[in-house]
Amino acid sequence: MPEYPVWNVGGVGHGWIIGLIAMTHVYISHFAIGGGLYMAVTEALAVKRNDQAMIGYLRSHSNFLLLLTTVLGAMGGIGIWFAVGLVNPASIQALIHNFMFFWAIEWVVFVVEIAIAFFYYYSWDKVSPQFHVKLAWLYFIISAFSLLVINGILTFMLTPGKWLETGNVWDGFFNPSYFPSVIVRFLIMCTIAGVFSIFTSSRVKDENLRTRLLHYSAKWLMPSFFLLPFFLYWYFTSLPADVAKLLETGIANIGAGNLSVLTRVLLLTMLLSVTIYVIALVGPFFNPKIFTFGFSVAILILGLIVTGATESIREMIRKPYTVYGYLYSNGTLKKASADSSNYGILKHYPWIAEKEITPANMKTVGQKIFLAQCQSCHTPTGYRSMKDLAKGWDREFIFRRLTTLPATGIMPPFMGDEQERRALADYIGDIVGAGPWPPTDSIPTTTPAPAPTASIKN
Amino acid sequence: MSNEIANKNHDDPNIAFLPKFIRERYDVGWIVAFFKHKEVPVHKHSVWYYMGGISLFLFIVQIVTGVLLMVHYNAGEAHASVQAIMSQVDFGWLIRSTHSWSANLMVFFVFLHMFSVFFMKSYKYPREMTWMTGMILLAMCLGFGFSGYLLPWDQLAYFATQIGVKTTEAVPVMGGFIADMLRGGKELGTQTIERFYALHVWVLPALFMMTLGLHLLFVQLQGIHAPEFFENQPADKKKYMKFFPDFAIKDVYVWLIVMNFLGLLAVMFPWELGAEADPLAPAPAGIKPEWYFLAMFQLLKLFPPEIGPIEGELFGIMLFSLVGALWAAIPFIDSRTAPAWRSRATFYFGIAFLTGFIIFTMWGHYSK
Repeated sequence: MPEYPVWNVGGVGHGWIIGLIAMTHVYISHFAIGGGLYMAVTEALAVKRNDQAMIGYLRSHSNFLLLLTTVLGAMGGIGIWFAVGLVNPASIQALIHNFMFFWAIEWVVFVVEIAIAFFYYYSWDKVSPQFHVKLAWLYFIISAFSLLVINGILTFMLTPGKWLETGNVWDGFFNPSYFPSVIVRFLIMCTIAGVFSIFTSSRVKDENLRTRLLHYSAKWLMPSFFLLPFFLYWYFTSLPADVAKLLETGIANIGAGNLSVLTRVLLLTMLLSVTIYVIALVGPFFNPKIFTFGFSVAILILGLIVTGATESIREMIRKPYTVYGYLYSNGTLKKASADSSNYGILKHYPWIAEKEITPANMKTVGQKIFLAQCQSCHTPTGYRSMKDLAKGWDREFIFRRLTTLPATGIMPPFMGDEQERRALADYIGDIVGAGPWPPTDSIPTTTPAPAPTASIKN
Repeated sequence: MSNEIANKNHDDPNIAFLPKFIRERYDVGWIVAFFKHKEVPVHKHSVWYYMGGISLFLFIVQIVTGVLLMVHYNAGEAHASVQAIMSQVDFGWLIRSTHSWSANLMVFFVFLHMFSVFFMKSYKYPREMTWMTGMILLAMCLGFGFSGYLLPWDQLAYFATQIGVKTTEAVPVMGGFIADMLRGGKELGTQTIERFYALHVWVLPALFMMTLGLHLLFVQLQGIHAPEFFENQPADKKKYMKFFPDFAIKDVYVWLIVMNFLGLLAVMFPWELGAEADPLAPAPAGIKPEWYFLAMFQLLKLFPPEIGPIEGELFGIMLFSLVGALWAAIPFIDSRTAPAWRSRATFYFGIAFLTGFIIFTMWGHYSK
């Protein structure tokens, strides 16, 4: 399984590279679908009332929608798979292997979606208004279909459900969190469509039209404001028991109770979401006249942060897995980890040239083991760095700590034998500036160390 | 008398929206009328008008979170009680984190407010007193920062305060006395915490709120200043926005956004608490004061131990006092009737002050 060389990123680390692309992509792709619904509903309304001013606005808004979704949205989507493929090839491999046909469908749907988007945009005034409205609906339906497909794969990673036993692809696809997740995402899409149209509306010159549009766009935020709490609750009840516990108590070992990063991010999303709704209500809805472009940019940024925060929660609660209960986030299969201390990293990673550990190559091998086992989440000195996390530990303690990683609740087991553990401990010891090893005969090799009290940093 | 008010207020359209209970008893029509007529100039620099409001908002956050912290803080067991706030009190970490971040943001926005007022020349006649009260508020703000920094009583707090108090010893004649009074003796200890605590939660807030009241009153009485280019426009080109509700709602927006930014900082970067202060331990390597004192700190380091007959540190303090006094006296140097060259000189002085502040802060930040 781990037969690929690794892509080494220092500093921000892999997680953030994928995270930053994913945040933007999710924001824009949700807008692509929600925006589709917005166009269809709004254009149908405008055509029915023969509201030419509104149609004029929709035309320019569709320009924005087309540009943003076909350029940035598409690039982001490809960017995610590209980055994940480099960072964690095993997880992509597992997903493709399982969902080959869904993947194919997704790509076809995507191409059709883009084609219709272009057709829609370039057919303003060239087809009858009624037909144009139909095109908008068609665009929405096709783009929504792409969500229905990808949602199966995304939710599968967190809740593979019966698939773990049956291996049946439909069990994996229509997994326990599939339906609540679809509804939550549709509600969020309406919100994002509203946020983006508030953004474009606030640029409209004609004051009368601008106030009308702002007031109208703000309404798009309201359904999710009232419904989202209930569907989010449904979503959380569909998660595995361990995950629910994780959410309640936070990630284990991080300070006392409410200090966990998960709880903190969750708090943040609540604060940000409520602010967005309050601003939308007080501003565009009740006082559209004084709402300016600057504020719409602020809402847009807040929306991006909320999207990022909720997506990162979704990613975080999956720890230590990529596919829950099946594949660990560092590309190790769960079933392989049953015998973790005899697995042998050097044996299983063909790209590590050294096949034996000697005093001379210990440092090099230690670093390669770090790349193989740790770097999908950690960096030496950057984000989630060993420098901070293992601060003040000596080599012996690190060595012993490597046997108790699963006790943290968020880390996979270390798959190496004793020699490999020692090499890795040596490498990490160098990073934190630990002193030399104590005389060899004094090292007890198997006693697990007590879990250290971690700081509140993530 | 009461009938008089009742009759008068009955017909006042300004307060028709108020409940009868209030209308009958209090003659508040003039307040409402005042706010109804208040206007804010709209021009390309209007964005700077929000800085004072943001500072005020952050001060309110300070009061709320500060009071909540007081409930659990114990000056006698300073470090242990802060530790308990961080780990045992529900959301204690969030409150403390918000308090610390908001303090820093408040200093930052007060600086922004001050420099925007300076460069828009809003300190000129008749607003000299607004500027002066602003200066007092700024000084107290820094006092809040200095006195609050010690309260958690961790290593950094201990040694940073040590340096800060030591600096005052350089003041001629009174220096030793001031330092002893701050410390409550020759060494930092529980006495010092209690004195700083009293300063931080009672003396400074009381003085601050009175001065702030005056500052805001002055702004209300004189209205918001508009820069020269705005005033020189023909009357029909000048655009104004109603203070209430238009500007007030915008203010609330900005406050909400600042609140979210504050939440983001407090949640993602919780304020750390170091190990309990140990007076016998060596000072942590590369210890530095908070960012808003960094410029002064870095500048002080540049002076040789002796400059002519006086101590380098004393020279530094004299220099800071002189620049500070000049800065506070700006409205009288660049007054309404001052010649144009003084106005230009003031402008360049401001530029030099701002640039120096930024450069020395960065230098202080990056130097080992």
